[in-house]
Amino acid sequence: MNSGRVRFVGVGGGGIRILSRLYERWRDVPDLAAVHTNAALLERCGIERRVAIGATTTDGLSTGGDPELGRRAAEESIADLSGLWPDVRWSCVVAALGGGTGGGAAPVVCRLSREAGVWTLAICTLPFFFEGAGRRRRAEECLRRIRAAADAVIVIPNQRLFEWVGAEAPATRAFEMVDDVVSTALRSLWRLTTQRWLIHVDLADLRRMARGAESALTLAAFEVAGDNRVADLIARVRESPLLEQGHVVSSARGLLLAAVGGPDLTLSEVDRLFHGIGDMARSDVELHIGAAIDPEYEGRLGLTLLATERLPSEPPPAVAGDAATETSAEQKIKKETAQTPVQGRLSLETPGKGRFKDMEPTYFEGEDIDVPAFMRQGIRLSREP
Amino acid sequence: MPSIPPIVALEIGTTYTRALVGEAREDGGLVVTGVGEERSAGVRKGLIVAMEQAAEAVRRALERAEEHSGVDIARVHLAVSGGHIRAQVNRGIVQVMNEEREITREEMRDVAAAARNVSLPPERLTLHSIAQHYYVDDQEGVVNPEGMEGSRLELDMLIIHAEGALLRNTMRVAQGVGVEVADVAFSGLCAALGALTPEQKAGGVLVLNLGGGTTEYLVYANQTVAAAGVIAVGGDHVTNDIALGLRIPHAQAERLKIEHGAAEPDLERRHQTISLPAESGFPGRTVRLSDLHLIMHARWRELLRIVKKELERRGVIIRLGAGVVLTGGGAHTRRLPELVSREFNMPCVIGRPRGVSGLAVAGESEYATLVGLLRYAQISGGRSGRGGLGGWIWRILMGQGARGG
Repeated sequence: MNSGRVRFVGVGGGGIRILSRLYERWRDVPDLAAVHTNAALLERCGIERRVAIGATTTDGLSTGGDPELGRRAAEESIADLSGLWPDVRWSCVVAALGGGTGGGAAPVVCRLSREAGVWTLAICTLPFFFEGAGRRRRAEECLRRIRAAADAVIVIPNQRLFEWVGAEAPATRAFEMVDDVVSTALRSLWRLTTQRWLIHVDLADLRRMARGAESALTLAAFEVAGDNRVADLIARVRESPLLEQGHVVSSARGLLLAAVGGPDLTLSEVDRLFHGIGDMARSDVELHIGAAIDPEYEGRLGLTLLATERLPSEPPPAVAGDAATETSAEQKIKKETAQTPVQGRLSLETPGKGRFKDMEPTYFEGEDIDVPAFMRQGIRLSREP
Repeated sequence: MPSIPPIVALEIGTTYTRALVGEAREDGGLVVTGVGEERSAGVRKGLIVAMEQAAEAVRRALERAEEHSGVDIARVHLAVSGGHIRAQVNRGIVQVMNEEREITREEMRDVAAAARNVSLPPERLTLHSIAQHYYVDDQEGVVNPEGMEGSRLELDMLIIHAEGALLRNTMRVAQGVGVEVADVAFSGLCAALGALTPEQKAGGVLVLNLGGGTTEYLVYANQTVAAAGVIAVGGDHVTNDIALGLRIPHAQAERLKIEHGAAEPDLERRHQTISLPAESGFPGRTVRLSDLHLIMHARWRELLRIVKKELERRGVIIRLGAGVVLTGGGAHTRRLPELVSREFNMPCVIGRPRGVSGLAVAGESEYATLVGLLRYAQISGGRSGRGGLGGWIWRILMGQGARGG
């Protein structure tokens, strides 16, 4: 494969955690880099290539969740950051949005990477609902900046994983889950560039798809074993919360499917797999398929799936409650209720679903819209007179 | 008794199960002779979640309609909805092979067959296929190509399709109480047939059928159905939001919504409070009207914006001269037409069933779907697909237990 080297750059605490997880689990993805304002955290992360940013701006500490500080820290350290690109053909910038460094510095890192002539893919996670509306709004704002700076963006709304984790699980477990899912996806993406293909698929295919729909790419990776592996894999795709229980596939405009199996993989299995997934998709879907044999996959079957969900120019998840469109009456009431001192506001820690809790959720642009709209929009209620 | 047997329209909704008995007049009009309405159970977001409970409501609604109309109900037409229903445009192409290169009915039939032949996943069933526009060589937007000359004829067909198993679940509930399901039709299409005037269709219009569990939308533009779909969000979500937001039981939330709810905040009454009296298992409570309105406003505005995005994505929202027509129970929400009008930047009116006589209740917005279904049954039962609807081509593919029309 000659699409050249790929470098993964984790920006901020969340992005670095995902890359650390990737490193711990496989150790074979060679080109990792970590970018953070927090020098102590960088020391601990286990990733060799490290760039500390914003020595003056934050004095080696964190940004305290302020993306503006994160941005200034990155701008201050442009010279150090530009050392990341000379020897690579494409870069993959990984950030968990919602905090200060990931959200603020990642757009700058993407811009620099692209200015260096490197094809730049950003992979961003969006916060869980339980992280609060403020974080989510900040994350969406940062995502807009990243979209403007990168060649392509893959968004992973953590909330889609929520059902998987289970509402009762501790928050730390939820974040571990995200790290696992995202690091698996990253590795599968990396393998795209290193695998020897029977049916060829490559980065050019990915780029072509990304260009057609710069706004909404979804990435998911699966692995199964056993006699029923093809049927099991298709079932996994159908049930995947990341793919909105298959809706992402059935509504995709473009699909990239890359299968990896051991020497025991038969062409008929490959054929059944691609047909099974192709049958879920629109009849006019743009399909790129690839298949590879890897001795490591003896008895197993892996699939990397990349989907362009929507047409271009579609904005990221609805930013509700934007003040410009609200009526003055509503603003006034909000203002008044916000000032009511006693009962405080509704806790966002438990996204309640009430009578819809046992049903298959309804998603729109990655949000579970069975959850009350006012909760997701962060609207404060006075609650008691 | 008239020579044409009565038609029965049935809808197993999320909040209400309703049956309507209608008789076709000789002049093509409809007389409603019986109605049965029952609170639903076992239905969420338009889908059956408990068959027996759902069947009980169907049984009672049909019994009432029988008593009311004096008709023994053996067959029903069924309106269906749910988030699984989708619409997509499929284009068929045929070459004009005859020597004069004249497009005849034969080519039109062939291109319709080609356009209908969309490859859907095996579990999806086509509910309706609706002809949109022809293309003759490079000429776009041809309404009727018969007699025209060309070498290539194309046709865009709007295919409305649904998940077979979910559809059959709804049918089974009806069949379980001992009636035959003659046909099924998409609720959004029925609501449009029931409530729209020819002028609205001609001008371009969006119908929003605001149900308890789902919201169906359907757009008429350029004399055809340009887009249709379902959002699995309805009045039940509004009630659920209120119950969770104000921490009151569902029944109290429902009543509060109906008695004091509004889709836009009310500046004049923003300090007003409402006392909910104690009832068995509920200690009573006082809530702020402004909270109620904020909760409802957030939900309605989001729902409208979702529909708007769906339509923008399909590029159909710009041509709607006749604005938005609201049908279904949600149409009664206070100040909703104002909100819709502002969100879509178009006029908005409440749609009531038209072209029916008989019972007054059939004139309410929530009966638009059933009146439309009666009309659908009347047209599809009478002629072979080219009735007063202006070039409808429809067909229904069903599995066992149902007959195509």
